[in-house]
Amino acid sequence: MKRLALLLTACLLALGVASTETAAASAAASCPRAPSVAPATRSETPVVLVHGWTGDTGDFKKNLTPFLTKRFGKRVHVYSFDYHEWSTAWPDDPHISACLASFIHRITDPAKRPAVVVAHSMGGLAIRFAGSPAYVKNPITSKQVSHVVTLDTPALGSPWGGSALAGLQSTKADIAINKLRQSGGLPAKSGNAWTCLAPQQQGKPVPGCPVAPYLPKHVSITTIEGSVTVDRKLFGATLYSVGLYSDAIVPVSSSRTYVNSGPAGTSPVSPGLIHSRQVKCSVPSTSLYGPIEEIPGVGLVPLLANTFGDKQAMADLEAGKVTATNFLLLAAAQLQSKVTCNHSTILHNNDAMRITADEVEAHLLPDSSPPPPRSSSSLKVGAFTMALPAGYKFDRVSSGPVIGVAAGPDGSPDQNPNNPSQFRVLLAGATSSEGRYDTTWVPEECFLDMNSVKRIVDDRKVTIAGHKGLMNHFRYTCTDVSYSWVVWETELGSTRFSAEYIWTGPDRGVKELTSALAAATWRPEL
Amino acid sequence: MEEALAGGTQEQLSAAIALPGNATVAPQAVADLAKMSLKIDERTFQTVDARSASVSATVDGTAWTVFLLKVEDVWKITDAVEVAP
Repeated sequence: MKRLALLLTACLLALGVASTETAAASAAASCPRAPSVAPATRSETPVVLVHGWTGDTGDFKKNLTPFLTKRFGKRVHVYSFDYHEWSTAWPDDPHISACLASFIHRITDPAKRPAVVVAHSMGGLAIRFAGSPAYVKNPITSKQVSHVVTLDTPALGSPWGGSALAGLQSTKADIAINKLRQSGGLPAKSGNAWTCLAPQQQGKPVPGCPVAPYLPKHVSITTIEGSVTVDRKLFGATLYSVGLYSDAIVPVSSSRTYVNSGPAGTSPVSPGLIHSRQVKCSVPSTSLYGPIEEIPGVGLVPLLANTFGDKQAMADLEAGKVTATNFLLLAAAQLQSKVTCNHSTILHNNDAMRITADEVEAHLLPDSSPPPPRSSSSLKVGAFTMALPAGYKFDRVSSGPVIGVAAGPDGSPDQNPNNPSQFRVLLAGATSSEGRYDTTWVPEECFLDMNSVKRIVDDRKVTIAGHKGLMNHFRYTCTDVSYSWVVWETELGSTRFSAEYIWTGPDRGVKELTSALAAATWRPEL
Repeated sequence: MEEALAGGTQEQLSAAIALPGNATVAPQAVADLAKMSLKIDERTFQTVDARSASVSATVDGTAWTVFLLKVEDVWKITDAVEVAP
């Protein structure tokens, strides 16, 4: 039974990744601890790592910190913000929100170098509170933070949070949970994060739990979501794949839904700066029995086995619910270290770390080089420089983030293995790990029906900044979010350039879109 | 159940394996399972609860514990774990 207690406790604790390592840094004088933290110099881009619920800075020490340091050397200064003493509190708590803001001010203000924040789980909500004047006296702005990367942040909660476990009554799970509570195996409810991490919908927050505000204006965000697939095997033969639609703790629909996760009546101020990446992994069903088969006396192995044959269990998975029919499958996927993209292992997943590093690289500030001229004959994107055709000047030189384009549905007929009538749409672009701008797509995973994609304007001719081009305008609806997307293309000599703008909400006029596109980063079609 | 598993068609497999929703068994798996020789030892049948049971079996001489789920009053295979030698 002790083993069972560990199993369930681990699942609950996995909303953060518990660690016993000590703090590396803290915040301002009013915050719990304030060891001296050297601010970033003008040659360094600060990268701030923020752990999740019940975690601490040790969550990053053996993976992301050395990974970023090895790749970028002295071009970055990696910091870890530690709030482990308060990590069971909802991050509107000033020990988290205000202290995080203060911490970031201290390391970014002296050299005026905005940081990239990389946050795991609830840490991704903490940075949102840190940027809100409603919660923080001196909130961070785009002057302090240019970009946020979240790893499995429960923007709309987790089915393991709050009172969801009450739904497991009348099962062996119920017995197990009762035993856990009696023995103190469940986390103490000393903080309110446990309650606040319950599943929620925009406009219907969990009572007593403030909804995380959107990030400050001009701060971009990339969400990274772990998505586990289980290959159902029988006598060694692979029958088919079962998507968990989550990292076993946080549903993909929650971790990727920044745009619909803010307070009712507000909207993300920079919808064109929101991107998602999904990290996938698969594991054979047979490997999931290991973590639970050693639990004596409860007979959970048959219960797990039967999950694969249970229609309701599969429906609950797709709906992002933890129920009596599927909780063991999710628990086993979280506890099995061979699952390389669950809520804990995502932190040392190679793909997740590479994507995170790519995101950091895209926001590295140029080393003490003079600011680019307003008019230039070349376009610089990260380490890549492209000369423009003779006789042309590029009038929006950018060394900032690359805003990519969407691959249309016709170009990405990637079918959902669990529903062949749906396909994948890819949005946005990125720099490669070598700093070379290429056609690596950054996926915003969104399975769509063909009918949900609506072209609003066909090939409208629009002139932007003196260049004639064609503007295409789409609107499409995912299961939980609607986007509008406008892409404008023009030719400069023999090279085609494009710019894009994505937003949610009502349609916008051509004049407004033209203005947004003029301000967007233009990218060459290489 | 043995015959259904070795039947070589989706329809026969669905009579032996509990398949939720619109899950379709990969053609390669259908073929692989058809080649296997499953022998269930009915004497080892044990119910876990009203909907769950387990039974011992051999597949081509290898021992397995087979888990069963009652679907519309019919026991069907959900998964199997190889018995350590």
